[in-house]
Amino acid sequence: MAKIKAKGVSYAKWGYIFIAPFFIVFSIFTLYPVLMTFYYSFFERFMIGLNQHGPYYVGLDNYVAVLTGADGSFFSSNLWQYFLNTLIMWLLGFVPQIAASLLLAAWFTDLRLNLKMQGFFKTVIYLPNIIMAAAFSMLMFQLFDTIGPVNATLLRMDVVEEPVRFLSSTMGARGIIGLMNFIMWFGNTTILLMAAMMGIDPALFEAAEIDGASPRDIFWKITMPLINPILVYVMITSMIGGLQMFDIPQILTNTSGGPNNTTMTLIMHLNQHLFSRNFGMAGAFSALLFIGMSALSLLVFKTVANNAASGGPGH
Amino acid sequence: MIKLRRFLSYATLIFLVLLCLFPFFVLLMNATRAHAEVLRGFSFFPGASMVNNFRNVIENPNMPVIRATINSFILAIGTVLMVLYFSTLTAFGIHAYNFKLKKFAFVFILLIMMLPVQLSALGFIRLVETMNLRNSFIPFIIPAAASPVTFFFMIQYMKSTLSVEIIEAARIDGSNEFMTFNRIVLPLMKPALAVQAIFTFVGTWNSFFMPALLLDDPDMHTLPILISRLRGADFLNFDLGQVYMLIGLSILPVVVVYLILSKYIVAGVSLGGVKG
Amino acid sequence: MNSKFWKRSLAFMAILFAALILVACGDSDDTPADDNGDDNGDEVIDAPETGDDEIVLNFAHWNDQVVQRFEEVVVLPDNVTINWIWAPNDDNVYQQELIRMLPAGELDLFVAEVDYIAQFTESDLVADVRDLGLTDADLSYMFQYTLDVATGPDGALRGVSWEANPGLFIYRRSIAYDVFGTDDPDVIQGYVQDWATFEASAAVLYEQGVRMVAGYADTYRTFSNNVTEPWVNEDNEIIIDPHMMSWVDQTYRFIDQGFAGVGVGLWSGEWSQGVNPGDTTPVFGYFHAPWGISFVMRDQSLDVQLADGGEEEVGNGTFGDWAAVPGPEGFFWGGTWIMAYSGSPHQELIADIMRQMTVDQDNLRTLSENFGDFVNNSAVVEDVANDPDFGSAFLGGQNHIALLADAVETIDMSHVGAFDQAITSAFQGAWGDYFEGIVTREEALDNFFETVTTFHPHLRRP
Repeated sequence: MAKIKAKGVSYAKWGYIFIAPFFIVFSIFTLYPVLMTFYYSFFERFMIGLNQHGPYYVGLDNYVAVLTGADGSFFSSNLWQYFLNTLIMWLLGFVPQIAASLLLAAWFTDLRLNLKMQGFFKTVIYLPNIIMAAAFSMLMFQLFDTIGPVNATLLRMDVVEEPVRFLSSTMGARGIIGLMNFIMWFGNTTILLMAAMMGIDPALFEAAEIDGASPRDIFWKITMPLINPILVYVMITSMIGGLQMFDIPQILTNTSGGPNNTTMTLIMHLNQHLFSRNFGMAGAFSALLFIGMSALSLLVFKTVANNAASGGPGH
Repeated sequence: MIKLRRFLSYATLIFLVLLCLFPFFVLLMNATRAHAEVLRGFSFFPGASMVNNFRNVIENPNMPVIRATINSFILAIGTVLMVLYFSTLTAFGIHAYNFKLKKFAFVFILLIMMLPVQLSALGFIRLVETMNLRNSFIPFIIPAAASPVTFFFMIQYMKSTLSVEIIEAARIDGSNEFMTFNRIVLPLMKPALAVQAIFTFVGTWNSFFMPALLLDDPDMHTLPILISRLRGADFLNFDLGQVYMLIGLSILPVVVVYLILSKYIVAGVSLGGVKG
Repeated sequence: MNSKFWKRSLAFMAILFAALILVACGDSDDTPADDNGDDNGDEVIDAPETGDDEIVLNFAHWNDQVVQRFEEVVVLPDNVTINWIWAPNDDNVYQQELIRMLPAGELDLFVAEVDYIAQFTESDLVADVRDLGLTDADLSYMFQYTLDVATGPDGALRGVSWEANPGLFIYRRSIAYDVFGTDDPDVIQGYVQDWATFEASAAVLYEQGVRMVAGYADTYRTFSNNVTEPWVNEDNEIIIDPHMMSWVDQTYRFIDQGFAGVGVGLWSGEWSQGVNPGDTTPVFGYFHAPWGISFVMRDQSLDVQLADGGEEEVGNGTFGDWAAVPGPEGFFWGGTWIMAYSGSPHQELIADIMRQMTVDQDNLRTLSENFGDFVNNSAVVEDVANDPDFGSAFLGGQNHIALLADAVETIDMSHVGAFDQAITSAFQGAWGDYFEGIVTREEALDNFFETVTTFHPHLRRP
């Protein structure tokens, strides 16, 4: 025993050697850039045509500019509008996604229902998740264009008299983005929830059935409480993904975030500053997002840690 | 009762399947039509211009689709190799050895797992420009060595499958630690590696934000960049056949890979979810 | 069983699709191979024994207009190839990429548009064409405004153009005949000679189920070229000219009354569709510069595209069913100046290309005949305008050059500014929302200023 322990100590350096690449790369390509992003946020630096303006140290001016609106007040800042846009579009996809996924997962795992062709269904509903969001957005743009197939079909079926301008209305544009998020993610969530449900001890269901519980009762009183940890996990990861929403609205609205900026997400706005090489504003905006998202990731960490502590649904 | 429920569930499933497949069906049909036919409205039957559209896309010098496909492959495969090797190595380092900073390293990686790359984008762009690595795949492939999500997956997998005895047996056989990792641990991780390879490949293939900001030389464009430029290329509105064909070409490779490997992918999703 | 069957069928279909594509690929895979060779240093070794080094000129452009014309008339030495670099004009992407590539020395040649050319005419990174070797004799037939626009504050001429771009109103002959009883341009001009008659005619056309113009931005250039002040004043404040607000008001009325398509922006699918509408709502006319005929309207008008074996002939879509008139207000649209990187080692070659594209009268005559361009050479224009055999097949044989020969002298570009592109697209975008009833006038103004100042942080709302 003593011999092995002595050996174990001498091997400790290998632990450091093996994790070194990760931390070196992380420091250079993530940590340093994050620090630089904060640094740039204190300067005024942008392009006027071919000429660079600045950098001039401006203190917290960029933060003030991000956090105040046209009338100088905190609440009129566009930041809130973009945050709200992002949140709404996330919810438009997430709410139906959770509902559909719970339903499907319950059906797939219901032995009495005994659904056939599960492999096929799972394959198809997960398929949109692997599709390039850029290509999917371009496709949906063409489908919902005034001269696209959706309008052509509606017109031919006399549902509408003239083409619907889906992307010109706030509801239409946000709705399509929500729909795309739904299509892309409900398959993924279904599979996650199924795994959680299959981890539940079948004896619980049998006992409930013997007691005469209806499928609805079983779902709400047994399934839901037991898959709660994974539901929380799904929600938080989805929210973090949602806050990063970029590809879909960017390409669907051709970077405009229209109509009237109602589909402009936080990251799309950050991209505007990065694209026009306004480093001060991009830095301040990133720094503020960083603080917000760090808070969220702490939340995730807590959840994951709790999950692990309680054994997790899969174990 | 059970029959009604079964009917309801099948009906819902079929509706959702149609919802998922309809856009791709339209894509497939319209990729076979000429511009004027597309404008005349949608039809459920294919047209005759598939080869024409394909040739027009391939020969369109502004849409270097073959080049972009090759670039996407290089980027994705390079990233996959880096992600897999170093994530597994890091996980192995933390899983198999006892050292003072072990706990700290683990918690630290978990903490940074959820931070989006976009927030370091500005500093990252400046760094890449300082290193003179704009329009190169290096700033995408090298940083892939630090991938917290894959690391987490790997270490969870090791916890359930990789016993310390195997490592010690290898030591007794005279294998050094590095050889042990390469020759014994990596092969044992094959199932987890396969799952993560697929996810990383798809994720990289589809990634858009950073590539769009750093790969602006047309020779370095990847497919998502090409698609985004297609959306902004006003004059291409004059040939919707080409537009649909290009969208189709950009998603085709992953769809083929997916359909062949879907069993493992679907299994991998639940594995990752439950472990996480 | 079943699920396997389905999965396999799906996979099979996908593979079939892929295989078809590979088969088709066999016909044409030589193009990308050439592409690869361009950047490859080894290529020099494989090159035929010319004694010269292989030269690759990097030439940036935002659409194929310049490429088509270049390939039509320019003859290059055997050892010279052009590496075309394309970026979309939308959302200022092209402009941004020029700003990145030029200082990095990644370009030899590029084209710039009037909306942002001033950013480049004031930069030493762009060569003075006189330094390149173009003489005053070379420039003597060019229209003065094309020289003024490309001249920097230091007096250096930093770009030359093969085209001038006075604007036209191009209308459908068959619709004119049905509604006004004639398709004769001289008569039709009377129906569109000023904005009041234009609007009255729009009402007549509306009764017949025809839109006067396709969308909300069609008349934009006719207004924006007749302003009295530039967009940006000396204090970097953005000034909205009263004439631009007339555009807003008139367009609002047009959309409200159905004279123009609601929500139809330039270059959109529905905008294109109006040129060859089939069963959908027909459009009477479009405002275009001559380049718009060959580059935009021709392709839009055809039922069978040229790439698919179609011919430019009457009967293929609406080709030939068009005619041009000066319209209610003189205007210009676009304009493409060829500019060169001052650090390029291939100055003589660049000068030679510029001469072939913009000075050589035979070449310019060819451009006029093949593309209908209004070329930037007063001698050739006069020649073409007086040539009884010259006519545009697209315009049913009409000689539109003759129509514009006088108008070009009146083009006034003194109000163009360096940042007009971002301003123009923001202005059209913000008011586009207003025309659709999505925003109020105040919100439209807010959005306009917000978009412009996000992209150009040094500009300010007054």
